[in-house]
Amino acid sequence: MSEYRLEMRGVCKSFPGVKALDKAQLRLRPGTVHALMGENGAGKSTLMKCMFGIYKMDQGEIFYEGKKVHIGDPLQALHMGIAMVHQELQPIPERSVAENVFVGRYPVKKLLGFIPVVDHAKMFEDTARVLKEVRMNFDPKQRLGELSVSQMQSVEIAKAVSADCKVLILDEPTSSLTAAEVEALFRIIADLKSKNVSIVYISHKMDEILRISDEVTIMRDGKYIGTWDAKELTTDKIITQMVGRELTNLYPPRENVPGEVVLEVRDFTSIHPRSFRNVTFNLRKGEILGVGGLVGAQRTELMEGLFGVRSHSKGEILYKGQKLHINRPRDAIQKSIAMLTEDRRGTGIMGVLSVEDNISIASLDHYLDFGIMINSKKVDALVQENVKKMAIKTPSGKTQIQSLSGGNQQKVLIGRWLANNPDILILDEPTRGIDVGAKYEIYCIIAELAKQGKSIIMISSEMSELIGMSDRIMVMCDGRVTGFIDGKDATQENIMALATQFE
Amino acid sequence: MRKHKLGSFLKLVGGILLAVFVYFMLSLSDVVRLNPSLEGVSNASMAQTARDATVYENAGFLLPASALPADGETDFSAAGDGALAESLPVMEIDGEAYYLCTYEEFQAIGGKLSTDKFGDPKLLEHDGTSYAQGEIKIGKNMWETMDGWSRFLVTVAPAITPLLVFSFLALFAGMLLGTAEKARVLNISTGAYLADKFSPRKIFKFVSNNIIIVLIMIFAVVVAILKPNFAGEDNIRNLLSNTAVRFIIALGVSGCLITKGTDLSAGRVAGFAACISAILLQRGDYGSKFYPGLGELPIPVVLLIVLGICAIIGIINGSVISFFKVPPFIATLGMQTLVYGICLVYTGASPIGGLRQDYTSIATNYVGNRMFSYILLIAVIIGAFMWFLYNKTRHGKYMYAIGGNEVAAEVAGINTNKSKILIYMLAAILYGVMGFLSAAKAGGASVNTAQGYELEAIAGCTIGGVSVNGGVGKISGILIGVLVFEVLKIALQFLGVESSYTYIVQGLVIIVAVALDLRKYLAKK
Repeated sequence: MSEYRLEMRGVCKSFPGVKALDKAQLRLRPGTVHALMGENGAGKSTLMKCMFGIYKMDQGEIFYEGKKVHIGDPLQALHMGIAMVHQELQPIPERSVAENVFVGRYPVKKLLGFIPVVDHAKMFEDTARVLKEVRMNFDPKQRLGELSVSQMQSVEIAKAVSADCKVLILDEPTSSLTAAEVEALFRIIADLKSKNVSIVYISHKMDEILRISDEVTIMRDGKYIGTWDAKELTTDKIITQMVGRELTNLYPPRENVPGEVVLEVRDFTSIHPRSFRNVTFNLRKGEILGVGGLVGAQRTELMEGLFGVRSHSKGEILYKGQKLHINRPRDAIQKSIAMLTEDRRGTGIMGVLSVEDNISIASLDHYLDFGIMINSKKVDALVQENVKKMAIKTPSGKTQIQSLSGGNQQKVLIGRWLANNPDILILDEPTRGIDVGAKYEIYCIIAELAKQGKSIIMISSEMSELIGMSDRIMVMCDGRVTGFIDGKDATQENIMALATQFE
Repeated sequence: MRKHKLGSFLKLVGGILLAVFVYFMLSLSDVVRLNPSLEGVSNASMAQTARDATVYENAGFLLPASALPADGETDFSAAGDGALAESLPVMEIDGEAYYLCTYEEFQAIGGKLSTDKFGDPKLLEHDGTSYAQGEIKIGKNMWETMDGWSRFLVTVAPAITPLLVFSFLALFAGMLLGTAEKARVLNISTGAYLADKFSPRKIFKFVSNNIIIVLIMIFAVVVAILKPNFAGEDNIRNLLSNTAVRFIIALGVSGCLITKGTDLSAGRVAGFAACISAILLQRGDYGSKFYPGLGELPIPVVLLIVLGICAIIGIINGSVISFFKVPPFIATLGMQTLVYGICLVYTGASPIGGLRQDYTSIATNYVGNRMFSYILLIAVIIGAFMWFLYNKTRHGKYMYAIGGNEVAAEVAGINTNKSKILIYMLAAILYGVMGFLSAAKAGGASVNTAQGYELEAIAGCTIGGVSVNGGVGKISGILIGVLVFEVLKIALQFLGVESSYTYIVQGLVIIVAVALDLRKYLAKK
């Protein structure tokens, strides 16, 4: 018997143009939480997908319980006792919780002794038991779509537990959870650990890692950097290993001076009773207004409401003293408002289109000849200007945007909005899923824009980003604005205090 | 830099000249077809042959019926004498010129009277006088009978082949220079550049990405070897005109496919358009005319009416899809049946024939060679227009953006509803054009005209690389896709495969094409 439950050695994997994994390795002891860390694009998810049989390794070996194994597809992995909770959940919202837990391996009974049918009673019963095991008590018959994202995630974990797994991969499980839900997740992890399950835990949140993991493996650029005992590590040490350099300046200096009020929002209320309500705030020229709050505080919904993606029932928006009627994003865009949405892939990029098309799509009116023909030279100039100004790494303007890294995609989207020369920029989690180096570049861009006199609203779930970048922080809780904090006085504690002011 | 410019210059000039001389060559072959005495004559001696040869033309004659002897002869088949006829007076009736002469004069120059089935002379009534019709073969110098364009072609004939070769060489040299320049930019030798470009890996990739096209083309070459007529002019002409009409309908469907939609009403809308065009453009003297009292409408007016009706159908399609969020598959399937019903009710299910000649001539007229029919030219113009629309206008960019990610397009400020309505409207207008042309081509229309063309159009688009995943598709690809699909059908016909079996093959090709397309996107995951 090997000392490791699972071992991956010398794993290489290439995608067209990129070497995603270069002799990566991982050694997993039984009954431990093993954190896998690295910048985005370091190859963490790719390594896990190789382990789970989603990707085929170009090179490398996997040993499970000391024996060399070949994992061809996820089903094989599941049979061996490896389960994975994906970064992006893949639930079937129209079906019940139980069906989601047992999808693909429904318990079967024989009707009249020979017709195989799904044994619903057993399925619901088993689901209830598993849910109890992970300390979640919802009705197995409930439609999954009625649950919140965190509850859906719990269902995914329940699914893994019900498969009696020996290895559980959690890929960024807390990215959309509230603090209370994170605590619940940690309790589940502790339970599983006591049952001798090995857990691979991928996360960017240092405090979580340091709290729950036993060992930490750090990767960089697809390569294995090293494995440490979690007790030996500190946040600084992890960051140093991840980026390979000392981070001296996490946030750029800001030279913007907030001026007169450009945007006033009064009593803004959603059409949905549980969403944003009675929101009143104003925004100054050249100001960076941070928007903090827990997940579920309806920050995104509020901003999408202002931008016309969602509907509102009452309230008014005044832009330079003039009342705006915004019912569609087009209306807001025409009034010099731009919004970088939170879900980059879902509502931002057009994946199969080129960088050039993605960057110019919202401002095509500016590049017309004879009022109809798009002048490709002007578009090209726009692309070149942005590539240079924001250091976008792309082989050419004709490259499909989906082949770029998250940070570069985000820069392209910022470029798309800047081409319209907006006065107000709403940035919803502008650095989510972006690696540390690119994050800093995006902070610099934001600081520069504010300096130029643009007003910026930045939603962020990262406390330090909020504190480091904002002139003023608006904190929301459960659809209401619970207070404003000056950027200089902001601390994690006073933000958290406002963010948890439930009624 | 200079080298680079020379390369592009040679490519441009070579390409244009090649096109021009190919056009000359085909036009010349048409001149030969119309003047049989030039057949088999070498290009070098063509002009001289034309100057020397005599061609016989039929000249119409009218003889006052009163002057005919009671049972005189009708056939004096002696050789006509052109010179004699020149001196006779000429009369014009309904745009035809006739020589006027007496029976004796007609006898003298040796003509032939037209007769009815009883052997009596055919009479023509004009201005109260009755004339007998007759004709005489008059020999003329071929050169005299040719128009300026034919004379020009015959004169330059000896030079065409050498110039063709020359322009091809120029094009080739230009391409080589261009390649050398590209290699220089990459700092590698031209040989290495070409070796990389045509490396087995890249060739394999190209072939696997275009496997259906490659297979069908190989199949076509095999058929052409087995049945040489397959590559003959007549068949190519047939292929081109079939492709032209299907290209137009495929262009319409392509916009729907690129925005992740589809349009199953295409064929029926085209059929409806064909029926309306045919009904409004029937001959005045046609026995079973649909609207007996209808006068002669100008063709452009009819075209506008037809396209207007189609545009309304398209707007309805687009609106249902945009505002009620009905899946395009269902919305247009419903419209397909609905339009068919309207067409049945309107025409009473009876076929419509007796089309005006000026209408059918749109299909029969051509430029240069019969290959270049008006229909083909119309298709080329529409293709160019669509290329411009897809690549150079906001509408095109918005279309690709909607196909790439509709929500993101909406967030970027695109009026997606408006774009989609425009796409479905334009699509229906193109079906209208196609229906209008296909009725002219077939010389009639029925409720079943263009039935099922939507599937051929979707197949052509998919073979040509329009992805059902949305956001991807080029005009050139659609053209190749439609052409290749048509080649497949005609090749099967040539092999004598029964048409029932060709449906099976076509169906398979469609499924395989979509499966391969989706595989490309799966592999990228």
